[in-house]
Amino acid sequence: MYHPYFRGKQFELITIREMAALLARKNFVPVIEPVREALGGLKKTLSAICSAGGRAIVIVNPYHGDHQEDGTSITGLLQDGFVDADNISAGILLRSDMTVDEVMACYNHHADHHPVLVHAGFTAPKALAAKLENGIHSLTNVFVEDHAKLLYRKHFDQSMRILVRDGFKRLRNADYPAMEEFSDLHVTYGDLGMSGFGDFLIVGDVYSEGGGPAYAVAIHLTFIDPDKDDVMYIYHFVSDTKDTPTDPAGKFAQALAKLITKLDSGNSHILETGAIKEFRDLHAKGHFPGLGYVKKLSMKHHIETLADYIG
Amino acid sequence: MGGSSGGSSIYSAVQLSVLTRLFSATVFREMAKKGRSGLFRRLLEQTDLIESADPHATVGDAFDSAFEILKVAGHRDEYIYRAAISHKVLMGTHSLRTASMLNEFRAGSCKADLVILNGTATVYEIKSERDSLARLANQVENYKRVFAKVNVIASKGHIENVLATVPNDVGVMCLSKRYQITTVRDAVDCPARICPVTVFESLRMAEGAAILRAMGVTVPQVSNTQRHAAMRDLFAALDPVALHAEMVRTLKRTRDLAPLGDLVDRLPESLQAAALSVSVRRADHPRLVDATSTPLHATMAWS
Repeated sequence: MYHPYFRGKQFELITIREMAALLARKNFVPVIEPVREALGGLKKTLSAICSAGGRAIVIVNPYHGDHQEDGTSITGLLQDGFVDADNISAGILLRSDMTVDEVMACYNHHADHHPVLVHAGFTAPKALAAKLENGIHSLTNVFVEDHAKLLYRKHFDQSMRILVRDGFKRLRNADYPAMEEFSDLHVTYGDLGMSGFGDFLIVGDVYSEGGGPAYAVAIHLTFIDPDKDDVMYIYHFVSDTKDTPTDPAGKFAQALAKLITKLDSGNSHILETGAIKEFRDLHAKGHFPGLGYVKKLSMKHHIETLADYIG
Repeated sequence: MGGSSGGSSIYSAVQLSVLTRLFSATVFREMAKKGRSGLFRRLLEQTDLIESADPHATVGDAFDSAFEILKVAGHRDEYIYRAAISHKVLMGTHSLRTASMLNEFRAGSCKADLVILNGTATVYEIKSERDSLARLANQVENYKRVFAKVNVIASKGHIENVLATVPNDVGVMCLSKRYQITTVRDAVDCPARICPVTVFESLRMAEGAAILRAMGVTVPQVSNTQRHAAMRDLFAALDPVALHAEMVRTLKRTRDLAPLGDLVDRLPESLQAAALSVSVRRADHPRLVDATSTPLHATMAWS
């Protein structure tokens, strides 16, 4: 089923928390890579998932952010707060700099937390599959597509396999095209021999600490086009003013006006989700809630759109 | 690097750039966040600072030694100029209690290197040995739209061309090879020429609103997406001289440096300019100070 991959910044965690019930109902399983030193937000998020009866995979050795050098506090959180939680899995991120022995050590260390392997650049799949032997049948493997191609994935075909595709091509806000293809993985993952699929939502795999002021404001919205074999596309609504870093609120209003015009054209294919209702309210009030909030609405809309498609 | 620590050593461009990078924001931030800096250790290994240092030398001593080399060399970068103005103008003529400083402050289509606010606002455009003068005329034009006094501080080699490039109301200063600032020409103090809309575009929204309030102008109640345009119109009608005075008063309050006074006092002199321009969390200040008092040999374990 669907595995949205989140970097655990503030608004990503809020999105998961607010969507916990829907995620649980649809058997959607978020993968969370904690990037902030403080784990309070993550703990609240995991609690929300547990009380909604959902599942999540938490990366215990993040590659990005504050836990890059040492993920023991994440392991500690899982052991202290979620020791009996069958639904919270430890995700082990397999990057290019890891050896088979390191993977196995981390795997064994988290044996109590239903470890899931997240393949993202690892280079010794054959040796690893051999080490896993019998355990491989009950194992879940998440593959980040750019790093784990067909031959790589074959080594794990005895296990549950999830394919994650980065459909979001990150550009400077001012440079986005009006519309482009996002992904067809929600339609094709079964044909590819996968049990599930995932993406990096409307944020993308490229990690940034989020920094300087934006010269343009962009609203990213995904939609599924039934006339085109249900392929998912993405609209980028970009402000017209893009030469100064000032007035994000005014620029948001410009981008939002484009979104509303598209919605009201009647042929946008954008699903009228709860997030879209909020965008309409913001337009009616002329209110800018902040860039993080706008990102949250786009992520919510993306999840709601996939939830509707999967039915 | 040349073995003797006397002033006669010849340093290559590569060696100077290694020393310069010690003062980068990256090193400063790493030390504040983690109490150590892998980049500092890697850079240090490319210098002879450890070999020439006394056995009890600290990280702070190494920074001071590096600064001593850089400030008389022929390839000084912006940091040395920034430090000279911080020490000799901001903390020399004025103080952190009575004056404030802005770094990288936007003015029209440019960013001002350094602005000092006391009774008026004075901008300093730095043209070090490594900089070209290609953008200078345009920069000065933009600064005049925001600040009453505009200065260019340059190396000796640039001075003649600077004088030929900028108008007569722009001040010109020289940072000598021996790290002395001399005034070649005084800047004219002329708040009447600023452009209120350009000023508004440089400010934070809260600062713009505070200035309007202080000048007795009421900001109408509009939604936040229309607020910027509404305030911009109000600024356009302001008197430049009165606006400039209020801008200085407001920015001295909102960008107050006095809270950094304690940190500045506890850092080696060569890092004080960094403390005034690279913002780090207050909670990280003690860690930063501890990092600078680490014995130099102990930094070999920094990763």
